[in-house]
Amino acid sequence: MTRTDGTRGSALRRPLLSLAATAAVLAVWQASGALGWIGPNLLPTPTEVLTTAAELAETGYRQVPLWEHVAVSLARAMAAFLAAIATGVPLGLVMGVSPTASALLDPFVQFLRPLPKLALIPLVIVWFGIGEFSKFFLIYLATFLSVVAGAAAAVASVGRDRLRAAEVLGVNRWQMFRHVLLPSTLPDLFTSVRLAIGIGWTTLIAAEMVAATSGLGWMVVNAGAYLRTDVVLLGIVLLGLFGYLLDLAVVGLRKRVVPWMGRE
Amino acid sequence: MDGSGVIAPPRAKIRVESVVKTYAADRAAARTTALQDVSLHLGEGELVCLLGPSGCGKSTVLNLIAGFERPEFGAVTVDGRPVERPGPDRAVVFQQPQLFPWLSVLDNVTFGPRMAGVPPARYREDAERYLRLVGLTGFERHAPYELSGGMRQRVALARAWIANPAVLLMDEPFAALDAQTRLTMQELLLDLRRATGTTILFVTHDIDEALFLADRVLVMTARPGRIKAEVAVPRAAVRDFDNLFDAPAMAQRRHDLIALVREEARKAAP
Repeated sequence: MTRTDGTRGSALRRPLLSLAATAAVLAVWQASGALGWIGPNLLPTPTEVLTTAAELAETGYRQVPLWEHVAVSLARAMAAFLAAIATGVPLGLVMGVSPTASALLDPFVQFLRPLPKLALIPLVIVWFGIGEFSKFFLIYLATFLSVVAGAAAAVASVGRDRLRAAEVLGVNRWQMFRHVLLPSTLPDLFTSVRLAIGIGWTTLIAAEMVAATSGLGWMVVNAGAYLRTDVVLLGIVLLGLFGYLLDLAVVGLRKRVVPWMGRE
Repeated sequence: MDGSGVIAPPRAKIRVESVVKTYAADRAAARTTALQDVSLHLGEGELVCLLGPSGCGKSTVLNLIAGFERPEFGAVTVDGRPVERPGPDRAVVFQQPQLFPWLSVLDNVTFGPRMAGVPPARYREDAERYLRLVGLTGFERHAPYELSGGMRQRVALARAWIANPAVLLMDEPFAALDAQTRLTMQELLLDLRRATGTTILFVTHDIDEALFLADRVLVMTARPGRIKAEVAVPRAAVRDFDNLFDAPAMAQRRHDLIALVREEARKAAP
């Protein structure tokens, strides 16, 4: 009895604490504006941000409805993420399996990966113009490089004895890759995709600085130029919220696909 | 009582002849010698324990027979054929079960035959039989992470045995289990061996385990590893584990083995 209660208590404890912390920060934020500690142009209160959200939801920002800003950003990011995973995972796995491929490609991956993608914007504009492809390319590149590095490391971390156990069961090279190595890397692959999506999402704002006319990143930058701090804050809240939801989606998918993670 | 161990029995299942194995040392210029002139032979259906202090190279002997590593000098043959690479004729059970966590118990057990393209009709009965022998009937659909450590190692045993290997190599397979589970697993191993007659090389550092399981115990020296002594176990005197050392012959062998292993352990860690 005590144990059941204890378990239930601790299961509820975490979300309750998180909720309480969020509420406390929102309350202090609200109070700072309501009590006049900080001017409304410097930091609009949560209620002001909510009012702005309602306004923009009805009238849009710069002739573009709010949902469209959200949808445009999500579509750009999702297209780039899917392309990055579809190309980055196979390439990373090949680098993990083949020392030759790794020796050939690793210098480029390791050089480009830590590079701030903002530095590439002028080149990307010169190469690809100011259309959708430039924005896609910047998010794609950031996510792709991170996925490649993660997938290659995932192969390296597969235990030697697991591979040996498969060898003595008589697998050939292809079976070893398909039936042992690939599923063994799944937990680490999910972790690297999760990190890569975080990096890709932060690149979104850089990508939407490339002469966009809609999107959450563009909205934040544009509103900043007109000192609409309420819109800036709304954009930040939405960017954070959807980043968080994307992460939850990846974690949820991981729990379904890799139920053994952390339980081996 | 102690066989010479130098002359191979005519129908040796496993032969290791004058094997030398060295490794590149991390910082030193000279290579570390893991095995120095090791020879051993296992007859058909024998269960031999390789006993020695940790780091003496007993796992290296097993790795050479499995084909994970190659010796610098000497020869390793199984059924008269030189060992060149790992293969399903030499099953291995590791200290960790090394199951595939994305597969069910049944799919783990049948992994070898399935990869070899054996039609399900031909391995289904074997799978049922070995799952019954290891006491896991009814757990076919479970995932490995839903099982206890001992049950996982039972799955590994069934998976190793289903291919009907020429020899079974076991590398401290029960060392990570608690004492009670370990004893159950040792008894299970003896039952399985009685039922199948498989030739088994069993690596351990546990003297009591070696005496409970083995027909012969080979004691290794500290690094560089050599075979230091051979002790034949009078199996007629071995009944249950609790009364293992009631027979004076067994008590004497335990006494001898403790002295032999202690001496080497002292050399390894002065």
